[in-house]
Amino acid sequence: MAKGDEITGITAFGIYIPSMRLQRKAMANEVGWINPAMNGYRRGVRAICDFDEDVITIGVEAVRECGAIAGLEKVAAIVTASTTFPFADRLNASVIASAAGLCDSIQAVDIANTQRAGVSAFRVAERMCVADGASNDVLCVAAERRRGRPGSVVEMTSGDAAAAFVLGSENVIARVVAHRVSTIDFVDHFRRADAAYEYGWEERWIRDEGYRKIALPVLIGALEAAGVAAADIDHFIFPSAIRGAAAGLAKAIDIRDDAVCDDLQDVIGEAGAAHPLLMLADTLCTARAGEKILLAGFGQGCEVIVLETMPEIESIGDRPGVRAIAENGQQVDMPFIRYLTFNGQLEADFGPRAETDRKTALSAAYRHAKEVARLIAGKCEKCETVQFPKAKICVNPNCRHEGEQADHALANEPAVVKTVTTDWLGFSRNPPNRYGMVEFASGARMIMNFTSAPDELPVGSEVSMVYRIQDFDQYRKFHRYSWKAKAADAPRNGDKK
Amino acid sequence: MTSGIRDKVAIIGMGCSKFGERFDCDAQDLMLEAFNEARADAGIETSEIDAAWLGHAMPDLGMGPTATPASVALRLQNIPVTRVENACATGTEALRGAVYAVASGAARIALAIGVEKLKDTGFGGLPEFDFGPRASLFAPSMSAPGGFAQLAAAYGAKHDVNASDLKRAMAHVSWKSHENGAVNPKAHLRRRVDMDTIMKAPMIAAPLGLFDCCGVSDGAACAIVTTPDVAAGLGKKQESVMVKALQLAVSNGLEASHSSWDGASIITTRIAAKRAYAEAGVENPREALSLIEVHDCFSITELVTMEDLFLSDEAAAVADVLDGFYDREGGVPCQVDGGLKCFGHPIGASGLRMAYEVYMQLLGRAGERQLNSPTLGLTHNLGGFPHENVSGIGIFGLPGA
Repeated sequence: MAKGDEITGITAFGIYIPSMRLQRKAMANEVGWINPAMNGYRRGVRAICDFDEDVITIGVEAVRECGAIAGLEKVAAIVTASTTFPFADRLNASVIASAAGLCDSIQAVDIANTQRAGVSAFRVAERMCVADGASNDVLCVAAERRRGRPGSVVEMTSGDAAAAFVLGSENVIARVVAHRVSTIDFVDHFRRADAAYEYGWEERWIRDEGYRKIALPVLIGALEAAGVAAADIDHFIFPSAIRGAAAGLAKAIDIRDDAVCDDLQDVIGEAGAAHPLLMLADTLCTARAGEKILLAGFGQGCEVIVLETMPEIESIGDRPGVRAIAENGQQVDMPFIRYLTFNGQLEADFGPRAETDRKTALSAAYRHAKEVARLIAGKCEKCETVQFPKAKICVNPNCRHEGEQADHALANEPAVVKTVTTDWLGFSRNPPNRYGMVEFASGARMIMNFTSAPDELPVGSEVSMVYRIQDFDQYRKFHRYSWKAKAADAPRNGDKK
Repeated sequence: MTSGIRDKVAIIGMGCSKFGERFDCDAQDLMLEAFNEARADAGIETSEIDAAWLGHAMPDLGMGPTATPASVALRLQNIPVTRVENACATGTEALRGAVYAVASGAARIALAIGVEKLKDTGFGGLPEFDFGPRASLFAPSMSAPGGFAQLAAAYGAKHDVNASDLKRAMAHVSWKSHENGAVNPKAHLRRRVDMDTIMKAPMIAAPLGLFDCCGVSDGAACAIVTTPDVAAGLGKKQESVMVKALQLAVSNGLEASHSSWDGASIITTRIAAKRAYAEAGVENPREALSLIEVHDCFSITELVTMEDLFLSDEAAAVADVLDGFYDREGGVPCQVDGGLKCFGHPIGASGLRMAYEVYMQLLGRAGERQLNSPTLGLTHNLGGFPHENVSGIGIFGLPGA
C-alpha cells in the first residue's frame, strides 16, 4: 500500500468504570435546600472513584482491559487525556505506561485542559500510528475524575470513568475515515490552574452559541470530508450534560434519532474529556461491521472524527458495554458525607495517627519503580522459586542460591488470601484498614492492602490485583501508587502477564 | 561446640518501676526508680558496675539516640554503656549483652536496664511504624494488633477452630492475666475484667477486641549480673538466681516470602525455644517449668506461643487454655504478674520486667502472688510481626535447678 494510504484506526479498546456509586437522590437530599433546582437531577447514579483511585489508576485499569484484547507488546507510544490529572508537572502518561509494562523507548504525551482533550488525544494517537513511515501501535487513554462544588450541576452530572484504545494499522476494527477541527476561545466554563472548581455559564447560551454555531459546522465538515450522508450515520456521539443537546444537533443535520448514542448519564454521569471515548468504546462493544460513527469533542471549538467499523470487529465478539459493566451487581453506594471527605471537601478528624509523615524517598521509589509498577517478584535462576520482594539470595531454605533473579510480574496473577484482618487502629483514609497476606499462583506471597473489599474476605478467598494509590503525603501533596488485592473478578479473556 | 551460658552468670539484684501512665515522669526518672531498687537489692555501689546495656526501642518518643541518657540519669562512672534495640525483644537484648560481658570476663559486674516512655504521644496505642523507604512503597500501614490479628485468621483456618471457640480461648488468656494483675501493686491495669466484657469489647483489629490487646504504658526494669563467684563473695544472705539460657532467633525472610510458612505459628519462637531448652538442659518443659512470662502483646500471641514453646501439643493450645492449664493454679502458670496485658508494654523494659517476676518468684519474694516453691522460670519476647520478627527466650533458675 502506498505511503499515506494505510488504514489506521482502533485495534483494541477497554473500559473501566469504578465500582463506587453516588446516588444522586442522596446528594439532592443534602444540597437541595441550597438550590431546589438540584431536585431536578435526582435520577440515577454517578460512578465515582474510590478513595484510592484517580485518573492514573482508572486509566491503568482501562489499559489492562485493552491489553486483554490485543496485547500491548507493540505499543510504541501512549497519549493520555484528562482535565483532572493528579500531577500538573509529572508526565501522567508515564505512570500509566510503567504500570502497563510498556517499554522505556516509547513516546508519551499528556493532553489536558479542555473537554475535547479525549478526542484530541485519539486524533494524535491515530496520527502517530504511521509516523516516520513506521507502523506502530499507539495507546490512547482518557480518564476523568471531575469534582464540582457541592450543590452544583457539575457535581450532580459528572461521573468518573476511563476508556483506552490501541490504535494501529493491523487488524483494525474501526478505521478513521475523516477528521475536522476548529479552535475558538468559547468559554462555556473554565477552571484556573490553581482553582478547585470550575465556573460555568448559562446552558441556553452554550447550546445556541456553542453547539449550534461552533460544533455544527465542524460536524457537517467532517461528514463531507468522509463522504458520508448524515442519515447514514449509525452512531452519533456528542456528550453533553445539557439535556437534549445531542438530539437537537442530530435533528438539525438529519442524523437519525436512533443514531444518537446513549449518554450514560443515569448510570455513570458524564466523564468530562473521557466521555466521547467512553461512549465510543461503549458503541464498539456491540457494533457490527460497516457501521459509521460520528464522534465529537466540544471545548474551545470542536473536534470531530468519523469512523467506520471493519469486518475484524466481528472477531472480538460482543463485549459488555458500559451499562452492563455499570450494573453488574458489584456496585457499592458511597454515602455523600464519605464522598465529600475523600475529596477533601469536608475536613474530618482522622485522629493523631493521620499526622504521620508519609514522605516518599523519591530516590528509593525510583530504584524500585519497576518492582512496584508491575509488582515484579524475583525468580531464582537455580530452583525457580518465585519470591517477593526480589532478593540477592534465594529465600528457599533448600536452595539459598546467590545471584540475579529473573523478573516475574505478579500484577495479573491470581492469588489467594492466607491471612487477613480488619484493622480499626492503623491509619487509613478509608477505615477500617483491611489487609493480609496473599499468595500468588506462582507461590510468591506478600502482605498487602485489600481495597474495595467486601466486609468479609476470609482466608482462602480468591483475589486479583488492582492498581491504586498506595499512600498520600499530605505535607508535600505527593502520592504514590502500588497494587492492592480485591475480590477476584472472573478471569479476563486472554489476560497477558 | 558451644557450652552455653547455663550457670555461668548470676543475677544479684533486680528492680522494676511502677508501670503505668507515668505522666509525672521522664524516662530518666523511671530508670532511676528501677535502678535504685536493683542496686539496693544487689548491695553494691554504682562504682562497682563495669559495663551497662540500655534497652530503648523508640528513641524518637523517649530519650533520643545513644546510651548517654542512661549514663547521665544514673550518673554511671564513664563506663561503657551500649544502647540496644531489637523491637519488643529489646529488654532481653540488654540482658543478653550484660550477661555475655560477665561470662566473657570482660566485666565483673554489669547492668542491664530497659525503659520506654510511650505516654508522651498524646494518644492511645503505639504510633505508626515506619517500614523504611522500600517496604513502604507497597506494604500496608499495619498496626501491631493488625499484624497479630492475622495469626488468629491463619491459626483458625489451619486447625479448623471455629471463630467463637478461638475468641473464647483468647478471652480466657486475657481474663487470667487480669486476675493475676489485680494483685500486683506494680501493674498498670489492676482491675479484674469478666469474660463477658472481654468478649464484647470493641474491635481493634478483627478478631482482636480491646481486651485482647495489651496496655501501653511507661516503665523501666533492670538487672545487675555477675559471676557466681563474685556473687558468693558479696556476702548476700539470699541465694542468687542463675541464668540458665538466653537465646534469640531472628527471621530471615522465609515467613514473609516463602510458601512453606502457614502463618499459624511463630517459627523463630520454636527455634529459640529448642535452643534455650538445650542450653538449660530442659527435656520436658511442660514438667520442668515452674512459671512462664511470655509475650502476650495480644491474646492470640500468647495462645499460639503455648504451642511454639512446646508446652501445648500442636492444635491443643485452645483446650489447654480453656482447661486453665496456664492459670495461676494450673500446670504451668503463665503471666502470674499480669503480663503485658496488665503491665502494658514499655518496649525496652518488658523483657527485663518479665525476668524480674521470675526472679522474685524464685526467691520467694512475690508477696500475694507467690507461687509454691518455683525452681525454674522462662521469659519470652517477640518483636516485630508474625511474618518477620525477633524472638528472645530466657530461662532462669535456682542454682540447683
